[in-house]
Parts: sequence; structure tokens; C-alpha cells
Amino acid sequence: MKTNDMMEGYAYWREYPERDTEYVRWYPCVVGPVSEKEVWKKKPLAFYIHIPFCNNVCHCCLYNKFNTKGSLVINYIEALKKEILNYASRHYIQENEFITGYLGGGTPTALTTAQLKDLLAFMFKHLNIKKDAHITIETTPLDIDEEKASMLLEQGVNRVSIGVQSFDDDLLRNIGRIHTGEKAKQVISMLRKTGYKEIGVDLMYGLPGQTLEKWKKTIDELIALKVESVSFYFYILIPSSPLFMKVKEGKVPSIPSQEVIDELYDYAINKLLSAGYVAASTNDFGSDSGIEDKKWEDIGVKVYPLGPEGYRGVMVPTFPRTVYLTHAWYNCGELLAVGSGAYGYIKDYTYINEPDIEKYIRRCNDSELPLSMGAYVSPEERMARNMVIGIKLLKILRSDFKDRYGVDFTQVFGRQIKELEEQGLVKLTDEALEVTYPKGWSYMDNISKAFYSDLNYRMPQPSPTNTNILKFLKRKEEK
Amino acid sequence: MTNEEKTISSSSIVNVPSYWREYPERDVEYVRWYPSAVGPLSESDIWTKEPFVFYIHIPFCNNVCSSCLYNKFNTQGDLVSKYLVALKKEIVNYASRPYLKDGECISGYFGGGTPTALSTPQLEDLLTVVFQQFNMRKDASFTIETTPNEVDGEKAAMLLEHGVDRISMGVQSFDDTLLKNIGRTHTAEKARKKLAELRKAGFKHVCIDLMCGLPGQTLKQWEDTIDEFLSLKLESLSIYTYLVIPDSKLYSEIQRGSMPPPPSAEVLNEMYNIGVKKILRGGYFAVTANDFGRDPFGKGLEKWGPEVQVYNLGEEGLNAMVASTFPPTAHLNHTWYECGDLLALGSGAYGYIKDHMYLNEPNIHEYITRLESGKLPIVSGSYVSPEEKMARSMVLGTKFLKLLRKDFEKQHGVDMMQIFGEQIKTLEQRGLIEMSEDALQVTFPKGWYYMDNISKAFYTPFNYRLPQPSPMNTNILKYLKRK
Repeated sequence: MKTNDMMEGYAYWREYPERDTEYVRWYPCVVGPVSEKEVWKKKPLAFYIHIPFCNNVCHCCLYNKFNTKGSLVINYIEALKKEILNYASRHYIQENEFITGYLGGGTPTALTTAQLKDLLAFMFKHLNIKKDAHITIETTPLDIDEEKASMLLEQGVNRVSIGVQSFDDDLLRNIGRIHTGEKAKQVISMLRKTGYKEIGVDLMYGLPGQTLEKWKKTIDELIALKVESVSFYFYILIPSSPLFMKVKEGKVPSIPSQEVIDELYDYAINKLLSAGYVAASTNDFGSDSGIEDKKWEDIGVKVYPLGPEGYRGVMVPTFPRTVYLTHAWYNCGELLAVGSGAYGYIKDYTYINEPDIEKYIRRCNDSELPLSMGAYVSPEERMARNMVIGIKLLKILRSDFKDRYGVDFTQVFGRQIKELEEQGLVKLTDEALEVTYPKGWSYMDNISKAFYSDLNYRMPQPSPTNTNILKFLKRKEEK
Repeated sequence: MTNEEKTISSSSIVNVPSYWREYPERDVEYVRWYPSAVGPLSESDIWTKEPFVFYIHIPFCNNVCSSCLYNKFNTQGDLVSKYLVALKKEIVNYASRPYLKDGECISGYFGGGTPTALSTPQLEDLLTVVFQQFNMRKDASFTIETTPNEVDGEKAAMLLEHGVDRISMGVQSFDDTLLKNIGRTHTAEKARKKLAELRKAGFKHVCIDLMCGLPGQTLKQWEDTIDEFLSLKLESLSIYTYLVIPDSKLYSEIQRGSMPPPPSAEVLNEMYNIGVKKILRGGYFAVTANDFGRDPFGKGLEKWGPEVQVYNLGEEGLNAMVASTFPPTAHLNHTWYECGDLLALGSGAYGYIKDHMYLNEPNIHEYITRLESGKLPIVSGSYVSPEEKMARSMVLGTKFLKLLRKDFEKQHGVDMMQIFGEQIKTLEQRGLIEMSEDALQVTFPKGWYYMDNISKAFYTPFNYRLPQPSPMNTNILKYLKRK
């Protein structure tokens, strides 16, 4: 039949063994109204600025830092501005938007008020920073005063993270900190008065001479301060350091045994979680005080139970106190890192900036980007990265992973997840992968590392001090 | 074993952790970064220019063919010049965006309609703007479509001078009766003459389109047309199946008997199979089941280097190439397989930018109005999620006949079997594809015959049974969506 034959060509769907003749030239087929704005929306970015200076360099610090020496600091800031300008002139940076940032170190507040003000004004002028972006600065109790604090607030910094380490003066002295516990408390109350709504405190466990009694007192004092967030770090005694020698000679008490260290950690988290703090990671906790007088549920914060004691974890992407962590760890978003020794992630590359400060300055002055090491992060490694780093936030929603990579994580990491489940370290549900409490918590880094790809298996974390080891390992592998 | 013993030094006062421990040992190296394997890195590694291709739609023809499904209008003086002003505004709008400034054009296509329906000065002006506005990669290639009527030596020379190095002519048939049946106003002789003129003007890459299934077409006529194509020694050929549009003038003429009907499905099938074999035996390589090419410079594929992959189709003399490995066709991979950016300009054009597919306003007057008010003429489209991107790579990628698994993995981070194992198995059982360790390959000739069934096997449930989007069916789609 003539007409049927002609119409034949027009059916737009036929199943085998019928032959489909609608010429496929496009996919997907589902279209709906789309606006210019939707297609051209800005990608969220974060920045990290490294200020490698301290007025007093602590014995325990592994980071890239220098004493503040007049001309070096000035030259460094000039170089840093050149680096910022180099990025700011790139279209990619211009068309996207910074939603969060972090000034770390070293001690960024070791810079003078004038220097910091100048630097922040420069950044806000040249980078496209979103209004009300969540911006944190690190400080010691010594390097910030009211003048500096209110200047920072005015310039757009809305969160301060203070390296308190301990409220015990003896322990502080043992590790070479030249402030007292009292000073830290004064600074926190000064920041409150200045108008900071978000204050974070870092504490350390495993300090030379630290006992459970001293630690209990520090935790009690911390809880009384009602700060918005708390982070715990494990103190590492660097071999061959002056402090190491002193400990060896018996001039400074030795570090607690592993059993005591475990006890300190358990005590702290139990105390904090029962005081109403919620866990964002095994090290980071947020207070349950509402934000701007609003209750959490009103602002969409989601919490979930941890263990039988009524403790709670918080879904980090819903938590307004952890915008930076959400971006950098949960979403594996882009992180523009500037400054000597800083770590960044941009356009699918991780990178480490030149850790040698003199070389860093020279390279910026030559209008080069001061990149030193890094890696292309392939789609496969991106998925691994999101598991390795994302799981540190204790719970990854399957739907978030699928939206980002197009597959369920069990399709890609089924074997690893099964093994971790058998070990009792994680729990897989229809909605999420969750670190078990308390067992999974104590194996946090084992869990992260279970998702390392073969290429990264048994590799140490990259750092300016071990990039040489890495180069060596890589060369060996190539041979 | 105590933890002290697991540390690097055995000294009891040192607690620097060793950096790798396996369960049940507790690892205490604080993980804050990944990947760990890093190497030297330079600025130029990260800050590469992102490649894009463009498609510019010229919706005008001096003669609108009865078989054409595309968005086009007759050339009317005023409308054409207004359209060109709007089009240039659209070009400048895109080119001024940082995203495009950071990008680099690797290929461009002027389609229609008939882009050469524009006058030589109009085209020259348009090309000047395009080449001024976009960053063009050194080896970028640009194609323009034409009919045999709309190009002459002068226009051809101007095109070449402005960087258009490839031309695709809609010849359709070398039989005058068949041409007349479908309302084409040129003769076969004219097509031959114009092809010679293009050569003389200096085009090194000339492509033609031919159609099978024309009203009144016999197998013999089709074979003669293919033979004639082979004698012309052109660089590439695309073959299409002619469709009679329901309720069209031609449709009623056929019903009335004043026009011969198109060949039956069986004959059409034979035409395709015989035609394809003739083309392949003639020394052309299959790029898709519809597109065939030979080395544009006639020096053999070897000169392109060892990465060019050519394979035999199971019968002596019948060969295909893996488009992604062949520099002159590599840009096709960008759009079809890698979900790369395709900047579509002009009324009714389809594009893909920043993980969104989009359709430009198909109404030419509205298109012009929107650009006059400084807006982009995007009207519909959709976000293409990573899941849909994988599907897209398969749907469009299988059209290349052979997909390298490593290409898919590089693009999406997983092997295609992990995601589409079930679909691939079904297609294999039906004998439409073959799966090897390296590649998915469409079987010849069976799989070729079912090319679109294969593509559609990879549609997600969300797209299942939906027609290809087109300006004419976006209303249907809206309706389906609401439902």
C-alpha cells in the first residue's frame, strides 16, 4: 500500500525486530522551557589564602610558616596580590563566584591590621565574591585585638577560628605557646562583643604532660564558652625537634600513652555531643544554638542519630556553619588556593603552590602562577576523591553522589563498601553511606583510604615536606 | 602489637604516625587531600583553552524543497538583512562572555536552509564577524552547506579566503527526473559543473549529500548516481533516506497518482545496502552508517600517524575508521561523544553549552525581537545530568560504529559495561553489536540496518519513546511532559 509505505518513515519509535528509522541526531529528547540565566549560571568557587607567618612558631606545627620579618612579609603580600590579580584576570575566575573562603596559615592575623585590611580590600575588589560569603580567618589568642577584629568584620570576614589548643597554662607552656588560657577566654569574649556570630575553637589532645584531669577541665571551660564550633587535633611530637630533645632529656613531660590519648578523645566527644553539639566529622563539632534566632528546622538543618546515647550528627550540606567544608569536602568543589605552600583544586587539577617562600615571591614577580606540584583528577579519580574526602563528613547521600557523577556509588565502589560493612565500619542504607558510631569513627582514615585508587594506594598525603618522597616514588614506578 | 611499635621510630616518646595501616590496625594519618599521587605541574597544564564548536543556522533558501524538514524561509530582502543583524548580535553576545573568551573553536558549520542563499557580500560580512569574534584554533575546519544553484566561482573564492575550507553540496541525485519530482530546480549537469568550479576555486574538501527513496527512484537509478559520485573523486559523502511529509503537496500528488510513489521498504533497503557496498569498495571509509570519507589529501591514511584506527567490516575492501582517532573527523567526537560544547547560533538552532542542551527561538521574527532587546534567544532545552551525559555518549556515540571503551572511561570514569551492561547484552544477543575488550562495535551489515534501534537502546527511561526534539515537535513534548 502506497500511503502506508510513505507513512512508514514517520513512526518515531519502533522496537526490534522492527527497524527504527527516525534518524537520531540529538539527545536527550526531553526538553522544556530554559532561560539564558539557567544555562549561564555561575559556578560556586571557594578561596583559600595561605599566610605563612607566625609571630611565634610553635614546636608542634607541621605547616609551612615563617617568623614575621618586616621586608619578607611586605614582599610576600605584594607577591600574593600579584597571584590574586593573575587569577582575577582569567575569564574562568571572572565568570564564576566565590561563595566561601578561608584565610589560614601560619597565622593570618600575624599581619598588621593595615596589612590585612589592604589585602582583604584587594581581594574583594578583584575577585567576584558573593555578598554574605562565609569567610573564616584563623588566629591565635595573641594576634587579634578589638581593632583588628572589627576591621575584619567590616571587610567581610564573618567567622574566626582560634587556636586555643588548651586552657591549661602549663600545657601551653610545654608546647611553646606564649599565651595563657585566660587570654584565650578574653579574646573570645572580645570577639563576641565586636559582633562575631561564629567563633570556632581548636583544641589539642596528646600534649606533653596532658592528663585526663587537665583535659576534663579544658573541655568544661570550652563548653561554658558556648562557641559555635569546636575542632580537635591530635598533637604530633616532631622527631629531632627542640621539644623532642627536651622531652628526651626529661625537661618536658612526655606525651600520654596511646590508651590515655584514646581516653582523652572519647571523653571530649562524649561530653560535647551530650552538651548538644552535633558532629560534622570525627574532629569537627557545631553547637546546636539556632542561627539568627531561628530554629534549625526552620533553616533546613538535618540531623541524624549517632549511637544509642541520643548523640547527633549533622548533614553537613544543610548546615550553615560549615559552608566551606561542604564546598571543599562534601561537594569537592573548586578551591582557588593562593599563597606559598597552599593546596588548591581547579579545573579538575589539584595543585600545591611553591612551598619555598623566596621562590614563591620570585615566581609571582615574574608574572607566573607559582604552581609546583599537582595532579589531573580524572572522572574516575573524582569519584574516588569524593568518597575519600566526603566520607570524612560521616554521611554521604547516594542521591548527591549520583547527581554529581551519574552513577550510584555502590556501582563503582561496591566491593570496598561491602568490605567496610563487614568490618562494621560503615552502614549502607537506601539513602546513604554512613560511618558507624563509635567503631567507624576510630577507623576514620582507614575508611577514607579504602576508596583510594590503585595509583594512590599506600601513598602518603601530599605535603610540601614529602613532595620529594612522592617524586621519588613516582620515578620508581615509571621505571 | 601496640601502637608505639607501629610508629616510624620505636622510641616511646615519638608519636609520628606511619602513613599507612590496614584494618584492624588503626590508620591515623589524617586524610585531608586526594589524590595523593602528585607530580610536577605547570600553569599550562591547568589553564588550557576549552574547545568548542559552533553551528550557525541560516534559515533561508531560494527554493524551499518539498522534502525538507528544517526550519527555513524564502529569502525576502528585508527579513534576511534583519536576520543577519540579529545573528551578529547573538555572535557578539556569546563572544563577549568570559566562558567563550577562555575557549577555542575547533570546528564550525554553516547550515540551513541554504547558507549560500545569502549574497556574497552578506556572507563575507558574516564570516568576518565570526572570525573576528571567536578564538579559532590553528587547525580548525569550517564547513558550509550549499545547493548546486547557490554557489559560483566568486562566492567559492570568497569563502576560501575567509577560512571556510570544506563545502557540502546537497546534490541528492544525478537524475534530472528524480530531481524534478522532489521540486529541485537544478539539473544533474549543473551539480557536476558546480562541483568542478569548487575544485577550480581551490576547495580541497568537497562533500555531497545523496538521497535514496526518492519518488519514482529505481535501484538502477540509485546505482548510477553512486557510480557518478565515485567518478568525481570527492572527499566525502553522506546518504539520507527521503521522507514524504504527510499532508504535503507531494504526498497528495502521489496519492492522486500524478507522481510516482517512493520505493517500497524492501527496495529502499536494497538501495541502502548496495549503495553502501559500492561506496566502500570505491575506497571510502565508513565514519557512520550514513557518512563516508577518504583521506582529504589523497595521500593515504598512514600519513596521519599510527593512532588512526581503521578496521575491516568482514568483507574484503569494506573498511571503516574510528572517527575519534582521525584528525579531520576528531571534532565530531567532541559533540557526539564527549558532550562537548556546541554553540548554536541562529533561529531554530540546537546547541549544547555548560551541560545544557538548548533550542533557539524557532520563530524568526521573535528571534529577531529577542536579540534586538539584548537577550539570548534560548527558548527551551534541558539540563543534561551526568547520568544523561553517559546515555548521550552512547546514543550519539554508537553512530560512529565503533566506540573505544577507554574513551568512555576517560570521559565518565566508569566502563560502559558497568552502566549499560544490560542494554549491551541485549543488543549483543540480537546480533546488532559486538563487544570486545577494547570496543563496542556495531555489526555489519545487520547492526547498521538497525542503527537507530541501537542508539535508542541507550535512552534513559525518562526519554524512552520520545521523538527527537525539533522546532515542530516541541509542542508535543510540552504536552507529554505535562501529562
